[in-house]
Amino acid sequence: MDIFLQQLVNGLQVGAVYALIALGYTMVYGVIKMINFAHGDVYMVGAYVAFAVATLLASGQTTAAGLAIFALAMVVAMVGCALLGALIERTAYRPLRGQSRMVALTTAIGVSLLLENLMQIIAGPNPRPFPELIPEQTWNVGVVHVNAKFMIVLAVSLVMMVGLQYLVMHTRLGKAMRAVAYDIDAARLMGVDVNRVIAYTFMIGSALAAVAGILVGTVYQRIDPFMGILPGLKAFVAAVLGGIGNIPGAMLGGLLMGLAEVAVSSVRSQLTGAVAFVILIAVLLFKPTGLLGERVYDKV
Amino acid sequence: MGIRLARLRAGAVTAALAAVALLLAACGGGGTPAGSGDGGAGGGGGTIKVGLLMPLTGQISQFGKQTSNGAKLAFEQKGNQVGNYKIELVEEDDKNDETEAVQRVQKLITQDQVVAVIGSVSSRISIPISEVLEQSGVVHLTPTSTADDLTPGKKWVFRACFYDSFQGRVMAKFAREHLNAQTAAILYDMTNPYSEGLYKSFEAAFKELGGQVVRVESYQKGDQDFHAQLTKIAQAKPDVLFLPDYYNPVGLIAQQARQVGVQAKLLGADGWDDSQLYELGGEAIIGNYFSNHYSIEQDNPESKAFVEAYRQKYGEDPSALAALGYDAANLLMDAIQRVIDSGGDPTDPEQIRDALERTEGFKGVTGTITFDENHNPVKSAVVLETTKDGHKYVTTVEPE
Repeated sequence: MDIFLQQLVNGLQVGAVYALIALGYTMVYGVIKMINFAHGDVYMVGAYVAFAVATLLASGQTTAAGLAIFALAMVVAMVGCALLGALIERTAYRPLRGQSRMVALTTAIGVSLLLENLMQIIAGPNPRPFPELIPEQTWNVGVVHVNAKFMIVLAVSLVMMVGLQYLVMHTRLGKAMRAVAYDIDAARLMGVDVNRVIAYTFMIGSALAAVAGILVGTVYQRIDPFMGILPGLKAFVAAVLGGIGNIPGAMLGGLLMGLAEVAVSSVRSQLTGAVAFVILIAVLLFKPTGLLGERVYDKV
Repeated sequence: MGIRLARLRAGAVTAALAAVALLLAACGGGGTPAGSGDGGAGGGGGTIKVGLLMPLTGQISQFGKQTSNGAKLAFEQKGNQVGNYKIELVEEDDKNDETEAVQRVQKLITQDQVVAVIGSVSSRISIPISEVLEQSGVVHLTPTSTADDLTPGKKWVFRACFYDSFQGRVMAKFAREHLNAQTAAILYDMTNPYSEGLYKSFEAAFKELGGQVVRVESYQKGDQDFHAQLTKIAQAKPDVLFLPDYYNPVGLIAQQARQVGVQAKLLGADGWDDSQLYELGGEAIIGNYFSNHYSIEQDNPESKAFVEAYRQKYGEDPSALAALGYDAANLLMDAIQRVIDSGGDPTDPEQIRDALERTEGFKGVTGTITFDENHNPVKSAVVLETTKDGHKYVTTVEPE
């Protein structure tokens, strides 16, 4: 029983990270029906921007100062990644809009490789230790160890999910996004500035990726130029599982993915790597719309 | 260094190489490089060309430079001269890339006509080039590649370091005899043959020595969350936890192990040997043990002289890789010397190969070297402890 509860907590911890990355994935897909495979790498860039800010300022600070630096690094990383997202959209994706989906997908993979290799040149291929901004703390709840940092990740992903849902459902920009998602040409005819809406979508998605980047950097305290590949792929599966385009679905899919991985790992760890992809195949075969993705109109 | 290649790829490379080698033989009407002929046999002197193939750029360039520095120091100390023969070093960069490495080796064989190639650092590179050199009849001596299946069954391939199975045994022996461990757990990277090879040899030896392996768990390259596996390991309460991987994942695993309450001593192998281990592992990595080829604290005259000379030339302490590069160069020169002493022709790769095979009790920096039937040196390993001030020498484990 103890070990079951502990593994449950472990699963939620892993899942919270997937959920956070999946949110950005799903939003971009919801609006322009494009799988932005560079999303995992924007997340990596976000971690590096936060790393640069944090190493510049952090040195044996108090907990309060650490949290302040953490907040500042998060803001800088979000702004930086939003700009990067806008740049990528403007230079790589917009010129190809209207082409087949395969073209956009291939370009996204190209952007992904570009970001990885650029970062390898700028920061070097070796992993970097991320400064400790939030002190290590493990709460012992009964027999279960809960890492305080992971609770922060979980809380942040919930806040992000709620905020995003609000943005999409209850603001003017959200209304425009839904209009573009529903019918891009009709939206244009109704006077929606489609290019601007799509650019904003990418900026928000990239800022979310930056948040995931800094949180993962803080939790695992190690970043490298290729850190986005595997989590990016798994977050994509999480988004599909939850119903791609659906915001609460991304959250649910992420948490379920984490739990499934840990469940398999606790029986036979050799099989863990296959879990995500078995789930992907199963979802695509039996419920292509994902768990929450059936109501087409809500897709954003 | 371990290997990280898909075996399939090695197979394909080998097949391609065999084809290229055949073609070359057909075009060149001979194919066997014969050193630079102008000196000829006898005591008249001449030039012997030796290739040095290292990853001087790319991901593991610092390893390549250290190994290369060690080898160059050895040649320099002898004045680039053995007997009446001048040694000419031809250095090439393999960029830690299989294809590039094979091309560089082809160039060394056909254009420079070297008698021997010293290189490369990682087994992933050394295995494909060993196939080319084996085909061409040129001596291959790798300073640092530890993969078990690099040398067996090959006539021309030698190494200056011990191999992975031996390293696994060393740590099992150390755990049983030094730490008095009864139970062990293992967490390894199932996608890396280096890690898997070490795990298997450690497990076998630990059981053979009367210990009990209570848990074996794995992960994949790129994973960063190990809580699930470590929770199971914590439950089993082992005395030691063996982590056969490079410093990068090991640092993370050490931290997470302490978070979920793993109390075991952590054990590792030569992949731990990097100062980044401490940055990535923090407090959690202190007070644990790993096996290595060499320690600068080793107390023998060869080692002391080497450390002194290396510091003077390069302004830093030599790493284990530098020591292995130094030993590899000296092993080769020792073989050449013996060819000359016995009145042979040291520009003939065949004679150097035969002499190298007969190496016995060679006093190197990293131990006393005699080759076994698979051209692996039979020599001791050191065990180091991770402390706040870096690696600390603990003991030397002899091969049985």
